[in-house]
Amino acid sequence: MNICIIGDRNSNPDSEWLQHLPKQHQYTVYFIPHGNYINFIEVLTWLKFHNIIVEYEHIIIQSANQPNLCFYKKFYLDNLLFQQKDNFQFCYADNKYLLWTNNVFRTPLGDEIQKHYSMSLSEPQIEYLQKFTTNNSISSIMKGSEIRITKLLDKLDISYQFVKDTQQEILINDT
Amino acid sequence: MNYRNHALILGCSFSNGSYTFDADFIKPDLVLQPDGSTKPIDTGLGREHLDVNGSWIEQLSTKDHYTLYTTGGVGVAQYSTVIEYYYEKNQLQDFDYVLIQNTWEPRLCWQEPRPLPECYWIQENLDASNITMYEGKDTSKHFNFMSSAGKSNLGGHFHNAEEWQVDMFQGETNKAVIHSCATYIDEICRLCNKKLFYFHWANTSKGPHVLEYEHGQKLDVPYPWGVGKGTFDLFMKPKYHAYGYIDPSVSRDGKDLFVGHFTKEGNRVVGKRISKELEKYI
Repeated sequence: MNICIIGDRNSNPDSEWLQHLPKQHQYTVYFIPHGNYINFIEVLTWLKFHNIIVEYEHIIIQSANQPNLCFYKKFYLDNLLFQQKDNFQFCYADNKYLLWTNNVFRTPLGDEIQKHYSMSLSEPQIEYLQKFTTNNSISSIMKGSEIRITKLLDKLDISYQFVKDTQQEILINDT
Repeated sequence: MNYRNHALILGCSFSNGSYTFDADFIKPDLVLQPDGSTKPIDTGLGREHLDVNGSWIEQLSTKDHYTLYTTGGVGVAQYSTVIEYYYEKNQLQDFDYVLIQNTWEPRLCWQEPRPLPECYWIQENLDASNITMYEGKDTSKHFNFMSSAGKSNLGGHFHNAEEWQVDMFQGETNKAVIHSCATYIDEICRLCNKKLFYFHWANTSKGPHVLEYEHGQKLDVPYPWGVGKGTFDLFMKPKYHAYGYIDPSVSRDGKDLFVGHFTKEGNRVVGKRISKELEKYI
């Protein structure tokens, strides 16, 4: 089977859970390191728009869908990076298109973003941006994203499963 | 009093009441300074007087009771928060239907992470006895990420990061967030067997941010905002609409015209039509 995996940083080339998946399948792993279902909705929409989704017989959505809003530059999905490892092809978001994710401006990655845009954010500005995730709407947004991605998957007519915990045993029905 | 129906209405500043233009009325915003302090800046927004009476909701049937949640600057993200609150309290059952005034999106505008009753207060100055209005505690002051006259805006606090703000705003995340919120509202209303009605305040059908609700009923009303075909044609007519001269140096888009909200008379026209459409279904 051709299997599509859409996941977060826990679906990188070194992730152990991927190594335990059945070897007889071919896997394409789209991983958005800081993303969650909000971003995966973008990925699914993009795969459908480009008619790539029809290549897959099964879809795995891996994420605990933690509260976060992760912003990438428009068209970042048209500029994915690739890596082949055994029967896995990894297609992943390039950090150079990352604009914001929770606490990013307190990391070297955030320094790179500031350098790219020639900006120097003050601590109050960095703190203000944390309200992207610390607010009274984040709960309904996350719940809505789970309902929305499920509805998108239902419309694809391709079997799918959610993996919220990569420690759990992953069973793929390939009959 | 025994009402025919109890409705939950969700709207932005256009549902907050009626407006009059006053060029001398300046309401500054507190804008972050590099040292972390805030400074009152005239952002051009405060040129109107809001009267919480005279909203379009007053034109709906007096046989029904309306619980209204409204705050300037908010959109579907905040609407979904209200729906979540009532759903989780099992109080959505107290309503017969939900009516949504769709606005310009995306508007990632929200309040502090507190329970809903701590984010809104009850407006005591309403004359209409069949409306209970909950107003947000100036949501956009807590956080806003919205487009103002085509430019992205983070509360006016990021003038040193214009290009980054534009890229943030134009990315796909905005879109996925607001559509997720609309899906949440739609699904919860379906689960609770509540009728969901909605209409668009402006014609945003050409953009990617127009919100539709799969199980909702779109009301066939013209757009209150704008001119020409498909609109009420109330726009920029002083009887119906609040607007006037503004110093270009403080206006949102560099133009010398402040374009505001609707007057009591404008809301009367809009509300009567919405009422007529709504009555077909309830």
